[in-house]
Amino acid sequence: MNASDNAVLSLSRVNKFFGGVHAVAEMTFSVEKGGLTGLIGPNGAGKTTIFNLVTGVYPIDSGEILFKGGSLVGRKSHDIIHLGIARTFQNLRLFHRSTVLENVMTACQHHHRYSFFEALSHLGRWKKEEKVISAKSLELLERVGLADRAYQAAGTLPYGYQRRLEIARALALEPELLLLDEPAAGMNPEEVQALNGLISDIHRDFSLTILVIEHHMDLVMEICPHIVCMNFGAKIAEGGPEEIQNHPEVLKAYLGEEVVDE
Amino acid sequence: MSNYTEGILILLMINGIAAMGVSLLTGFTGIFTLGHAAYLAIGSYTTAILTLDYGLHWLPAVLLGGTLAMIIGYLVGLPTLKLMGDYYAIASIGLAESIRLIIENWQSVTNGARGIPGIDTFTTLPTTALFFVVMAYGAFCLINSRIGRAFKACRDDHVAASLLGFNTPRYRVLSLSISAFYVGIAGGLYAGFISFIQPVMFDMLKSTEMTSVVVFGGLGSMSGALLGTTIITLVTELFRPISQYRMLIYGLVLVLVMVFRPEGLLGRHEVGPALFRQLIGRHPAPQREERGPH
Repeated sequence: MNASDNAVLSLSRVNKFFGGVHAVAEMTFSVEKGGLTGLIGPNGAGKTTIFNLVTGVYPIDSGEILFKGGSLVGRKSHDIIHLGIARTFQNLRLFHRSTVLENVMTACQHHHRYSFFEALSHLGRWKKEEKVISAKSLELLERVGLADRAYQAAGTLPYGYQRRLEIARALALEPELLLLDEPAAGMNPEEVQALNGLISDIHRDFSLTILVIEHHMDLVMEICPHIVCMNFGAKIAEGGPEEIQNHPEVLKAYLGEEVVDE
Repeated sequence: MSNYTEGILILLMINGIAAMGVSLLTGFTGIFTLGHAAYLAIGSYTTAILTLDYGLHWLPAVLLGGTLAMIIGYLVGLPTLKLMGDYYAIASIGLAESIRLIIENWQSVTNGARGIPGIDTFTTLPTTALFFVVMAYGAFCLINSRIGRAFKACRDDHVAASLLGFNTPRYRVLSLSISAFYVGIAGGLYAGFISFIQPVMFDMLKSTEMTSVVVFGGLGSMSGALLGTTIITLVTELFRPISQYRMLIYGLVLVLVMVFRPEGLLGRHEVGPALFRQLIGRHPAPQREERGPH
């Protein structure tokens, strides 16, 4: 597939090896601006590795990753984030002992800066900017339904709420592209349903482009009009939900091959 | 107030300034140091040499001592703080020993192992109090600002911190530089307090003591660091008459706290209204805006 002009993120022939393991093989796909793309595949397929390559956690071995036309290859994680990409983590990386609000404020502060000396003296813009930061953070918490838990330690939240907090924290970076890594992991069906609504809502209200890794097929099939399926580091199928559901390679990856007795 | 009480108060505040410096680095940024006596030595010797040999007024001398400690901290931090981990802790041992050996052998400037006697005793109670109040204000402001949050993010999860857009090596170097400045200032005031300094005062034992008071008080609590250093300073001072058992009691206090309260005296709490509310089990109202509770 050619990287269309409308692509926010495009990977072309990306490779990544971990020792002898070909974790990502010739991966090529792109995420349309304003789209909600699902990235699926069995465990160990290399989905999270893709996120780690995009956000600069690991360097890629070959290929090209473009964000809004500019290359991300060789950039440091913190630079990539400032270009407008935010992500959540499969294994939750919250600041457990800080409060819920503080977690969001930490991410929120990039857009409301004040100088080192204002931080040291609490003079000047400190008061005004801190007010804006905490107000905006509370608003985001309200958005994901955690406003009443703002002052408790993040580590004491139930699992499902911790995932929502990660989303709020990522939104505080005001990204254009949001990468969600298994946001529904460990959730029960009702929670997944609520999360579904949340993802669709923020996608619309923040005019985001979202790439979501998910194991819950019903979530992906319901909210993602465009799905990429990978297995053993390589793309095996791409298309709409219908197409993916009936794709022979996808069925093979998830359900295994029919064994024919000879 | 007797001279003795005054002396203890001055010592408490000097140690408090140093403890805040270590707390910022170890407690809030999560970087262990076993060599902060180096910055103390740099502050002390710079102040002593500038006032005695160059006739400089003590105030700029102390500030220059702090600044030099900060510059050295910055230069040491650049290569060692690129990666998270215990690299700096190991490097800091080497740094402290090198600084001590340089001072011991650079006879012409530092007077070697014999030390520098006759430093002006400019460190009076009001002077120290002024330094202490200003620097404590700065430290508490800093931890309640975007910079403090960035430090804590680096401490709690440096991968998450860099994926929230923080240049983590830069914040670690910043934290070390500020920390070295605090300790350097404490060193300068110390020189003006006891008026005689020698290299052996800034050995490994001093470095470990500086870090242990902060662990003792609670990593991640500025008031905990102050409480820790107060208790340890008082224990070592008050038991001076039975000096042969002094280190025994000092050790015992540390062991007891680590056994019964491994997170340190205050854990991550600060002494203040938020701690009080926590004790009586009430969370602050959500209207509180500019400062999150601790």
